[in-house]
Amino acid sequence: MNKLNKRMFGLVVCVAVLSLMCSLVMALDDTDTGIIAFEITETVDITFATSSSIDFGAGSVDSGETSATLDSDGGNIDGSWTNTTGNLTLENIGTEDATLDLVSNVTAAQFIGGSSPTFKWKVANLSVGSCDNIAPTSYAEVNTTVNGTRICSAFYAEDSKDDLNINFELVIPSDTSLEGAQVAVITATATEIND
Amino acid sequence: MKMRYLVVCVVFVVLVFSEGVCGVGLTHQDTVIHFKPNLKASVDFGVINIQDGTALDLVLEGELAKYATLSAVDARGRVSVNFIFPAVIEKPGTHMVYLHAKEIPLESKGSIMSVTAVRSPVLVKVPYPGKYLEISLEVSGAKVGENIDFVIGAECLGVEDIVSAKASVVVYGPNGEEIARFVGGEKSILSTESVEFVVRGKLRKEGNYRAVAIVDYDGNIARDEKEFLVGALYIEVVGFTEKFKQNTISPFEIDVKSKWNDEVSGVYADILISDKDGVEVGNFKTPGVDVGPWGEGTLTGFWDTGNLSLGNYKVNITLHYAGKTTEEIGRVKIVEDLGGWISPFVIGYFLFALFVIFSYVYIRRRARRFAY
Repeated sequence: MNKLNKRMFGLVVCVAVLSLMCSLVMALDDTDTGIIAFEITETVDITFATSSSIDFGAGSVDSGETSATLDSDGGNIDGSWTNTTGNLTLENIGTEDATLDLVSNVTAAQFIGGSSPTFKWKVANLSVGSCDNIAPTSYAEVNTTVNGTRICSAFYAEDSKDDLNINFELVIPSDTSLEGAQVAVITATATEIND
Repeated sequence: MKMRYLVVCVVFVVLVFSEGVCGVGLTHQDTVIHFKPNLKASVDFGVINIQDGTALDLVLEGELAKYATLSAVDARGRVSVNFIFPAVIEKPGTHMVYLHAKEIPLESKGSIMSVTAVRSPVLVKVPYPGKYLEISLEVSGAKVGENIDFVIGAECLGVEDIVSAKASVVVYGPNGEEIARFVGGEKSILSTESVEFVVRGKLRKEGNYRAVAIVDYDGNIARDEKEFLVGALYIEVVGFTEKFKQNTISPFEIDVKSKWNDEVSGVYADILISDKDGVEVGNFKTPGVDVGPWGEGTLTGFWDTGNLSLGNYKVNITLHYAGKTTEEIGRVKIVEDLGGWISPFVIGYFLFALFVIFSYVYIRRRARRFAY
């Protein structure tokens, strides 16, 4: 009787353990259906990339010269400015293609002063095909009108082709009456292209 | 004398607000409004990446902006453009009202600042009198002998519903000759409703084609056209520079060949070079070139082999063209000296020396024979 009881007890324990394991497996395997809803938003967004700062530093027109010419390609003629290499890199970090316009808040006369100053910019694709109808690709006077200059008819959001460089050239006359730090604001405006 | 000592101290500084930040951006979902008399409607936007040290300037622009107002921007950057339209807008068609978000620098003394601005449109569609349908054609899956989908999006922009709209597509070849004509289905379209027709057809030859979609709606015609390619637009890598001299900036040339029967413009390559441990030692692009029909071209980039040890490296070349890519994986080698100029010179010198020796021997023998 004792033997039978022990066997019965053992059987019950085995069944209980198996049931528990089955329950556990079923619980782990228990699946249900849920709905994850999300909406995809469109984004228009541009940014000046990390390494795009330009700092020409302080300098003066060489003695005896009527003007100095600086550019962010590294050019420095008849001036003592040393930090002339660099450019602004603009990147489309949104999801939408956009047109791109540049405008300056000051003219060369307001920014630099003196006789026949110039304040020019030019643009170039950094990644091939980033910008359709890119212009100006050689230095041209900055635009201070409300709408500015259309530099891209399409500035693409595709990661492999979404960036361009902006360079500046300044002609600083020796007779400018301006001294100290001068202020200009360059605004890049991206307008979403409607698909 | 005064001018001699004149020092014009002008500081030009171009600053971005801070390193590694993003410019202001706008997010949105559907921005289309179908005009109805006295309609009140709202479109929501999100303003993102407002930088410290800047103020946000939001304005509405466009002919119909006078019917819209802006809500305040909430803590999560959400803003609504709220329209209250009049009973009548005279000019039918699509009108754009732009939300213009601009950064305004709060501190600008002593610097030139570059700022960003973005403009995103709300499309207000004012219905045309009577029946009016606008269509747009997209072509996809264009392969030889397989079904090509001509997808025609149709939007009823008239005040009246369209009872019957029938779609068809005519395909023209490169010389303007009609190649095929495919007929699609028939649908009715309610005012302001958009529908899609899918017209299917096959073409037997690869090449450039022009598809003209025509939708006949209650006796009126809407049309749109699109150029498309059929076949295998493919450019292959047929060779590339395999040996490079150590400590130089060397041209990396890639010879390519087009399998397409029309010019492919702006073909360029991404080149990724890694050492035996998989560590990247070169990553550069080539400028783009145009490759003519069935033509060949050479893409040239430059690889700086300074500080790289002699030996083999793995190269991964990715060609980019017309929205497609071709990948080629191979090996390149850095050597001490290319030796390209020595080999022909040495061989030529060796051959010349042989010629002189044989000539000398021949002349001496002839001279001896005559002497006897």
